[in-house]
Amino acid sequence: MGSSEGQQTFCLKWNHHKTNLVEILEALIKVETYVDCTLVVDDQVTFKAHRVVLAANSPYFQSILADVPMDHCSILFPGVKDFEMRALLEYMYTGEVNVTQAHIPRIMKVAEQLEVKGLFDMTELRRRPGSSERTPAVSPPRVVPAAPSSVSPPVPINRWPPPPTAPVLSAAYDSADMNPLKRKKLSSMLATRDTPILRNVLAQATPVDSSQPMSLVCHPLSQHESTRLHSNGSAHESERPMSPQRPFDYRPRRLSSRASSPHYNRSDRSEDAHSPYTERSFEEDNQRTFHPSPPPTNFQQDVRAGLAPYVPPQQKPEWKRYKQYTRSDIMSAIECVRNGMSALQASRKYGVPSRTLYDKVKKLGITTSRPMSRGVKRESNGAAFPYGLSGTGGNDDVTPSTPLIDPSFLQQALEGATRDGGREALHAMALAAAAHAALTPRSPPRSTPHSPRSPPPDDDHVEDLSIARRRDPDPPSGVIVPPRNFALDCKTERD
Amino acid sequence: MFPGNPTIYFSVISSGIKKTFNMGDQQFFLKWNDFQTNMVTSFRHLRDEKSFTDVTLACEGQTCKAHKMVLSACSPYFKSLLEENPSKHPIIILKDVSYLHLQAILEFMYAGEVNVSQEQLPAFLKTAARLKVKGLAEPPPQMPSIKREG
Repeated sequence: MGSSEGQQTFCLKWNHHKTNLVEILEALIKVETYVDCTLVVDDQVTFKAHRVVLAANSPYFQSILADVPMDHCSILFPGVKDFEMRALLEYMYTGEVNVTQAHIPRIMKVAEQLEVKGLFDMTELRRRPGSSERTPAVSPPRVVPAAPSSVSPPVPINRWPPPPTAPVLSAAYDSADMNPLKRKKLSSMLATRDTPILRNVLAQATPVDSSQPMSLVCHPLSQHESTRLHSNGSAHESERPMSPQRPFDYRPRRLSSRASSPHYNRSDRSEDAHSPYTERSFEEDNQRTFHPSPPPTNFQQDVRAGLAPYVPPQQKPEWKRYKQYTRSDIMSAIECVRNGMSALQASRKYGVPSRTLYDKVKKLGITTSRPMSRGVKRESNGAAFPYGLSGTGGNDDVTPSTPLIDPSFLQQALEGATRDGGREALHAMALAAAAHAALTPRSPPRSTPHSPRSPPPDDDHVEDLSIARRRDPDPPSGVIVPPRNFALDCKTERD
Repeated sequence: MFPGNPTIYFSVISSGIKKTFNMGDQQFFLKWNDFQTNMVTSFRHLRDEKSFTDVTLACEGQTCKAHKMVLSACSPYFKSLLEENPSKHPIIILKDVSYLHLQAILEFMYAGEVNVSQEQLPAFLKTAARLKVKGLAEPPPQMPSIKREG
């Protein structure tokens, strides 16, 4: 620095300086080297220590030792037990100490008295103007947030209602610069309605089957396919903002209903439990993978399926296709219901959307037997949800082998769908879902004769659904539809 | 603490010459009537100046300095404590002692009297009892049987 030529200075920095210092002190105290004070507690137990450490950890010691320039001083602590002092010294030297819970109050009391940093509230120190103000027992020992491990650290409050969900979500979405609000929203949504779809979607971070063509029917997504999100899920985020702006389409509702079917009290969501759609999401995902730059859309939709209705307008025209039942079908179904058959069964039998059938029946004043009670289902779903999430969090392929979905869930979804819109699509969706389930290797119960393609790679993704379907107490007979070929399946099924 | 009124041999120091008078066993009793007063004022002065203080008392984040001799003289508790911990300048950190009371106790030790408000009196006496301050802690008869505190 002093060089005449230039005043250029160099910063010589040792990154480990601080840690070294701490470690050295800790080592020194172990061998009691360079100690310059003795602490004496009850029963003549003595501890050697360095005054600098004491002073560094306690303004109290600092003030005491400042005006005691002795070579070696002894500090007497009448009334202090050795375990208390031992714990405090260890804390002061290492920043942490393990103590039993029973000892905490006493140690904290002493720490407070000695004003050990981190163990006593600093604000109180400042507050103390005069000696008179303080009375010994007055100030309760406070566990300061800064308190080291010895004291249980304050547990961070999870912003998101479902603890398990949050981590997963964050993991999935961290990559994207999602603002906390959005994330929260999403997570809360996820939390509120557990949707197998969501699970699947999330799980599908890495799409397997890209080859699958879009379903003929409804998927407006096909357009969007190009926009598919990346496997990492960050794409979802980017997509998110867009989706809300889109007009409400029934299509999204389907998704949502599907996802949210347990809660179908909300009319908008409950309407559509559309399994095909969800399936689509898988496909899309797969395809997405292939497209390096995915435009924002589908994945998001899928994810949001439960969350918010987003539907591309184009879907509507196609949607019409689903209405394939004839008047006679519906009439027959109604008749069956009148005769005691459940609406759901009837709807399946005649290929009439259960919701439609319900509406009709309701108008006619026929009482139908409702198979499921919502509350139960919802709970089951909720319980399953975290599990699903966790599974999704890490790798997509990890799908829980145990059925996440309650059979009732599916049924409910179907019912809900029927109820609200009377859309055949819903029914078809359910069927498709069932079919999809059948396709999956694990769900043998239903043969999948009609399914034009069996996508092996999809299995992973589909697993949840498949299981659910499988379990469905009242599976649609003979209806096995691969999600993609939704339209086809429906037709075949009807036949 | 003070020798009372003992008879002493009188030594005179004058002009560097020290002589002892032993004339016919005649003894002179020399007494300084202000001795105690002087001692009290001197100790107080020393304490105020913090001269020759050799012990630090601390409580509630406050410290005050004192003399071991005075503490030992006025409290068996401190006496034993200081005896057990021979140190040039020990620091005694008192637990559960109000600094206010500590100051009052020291005042009492050095001056033999102190003003304490009535509301503080019970707590003050309690603290004094804990510290076994002579004259405050126990009634005179019990003084001899003071038990040392570890």
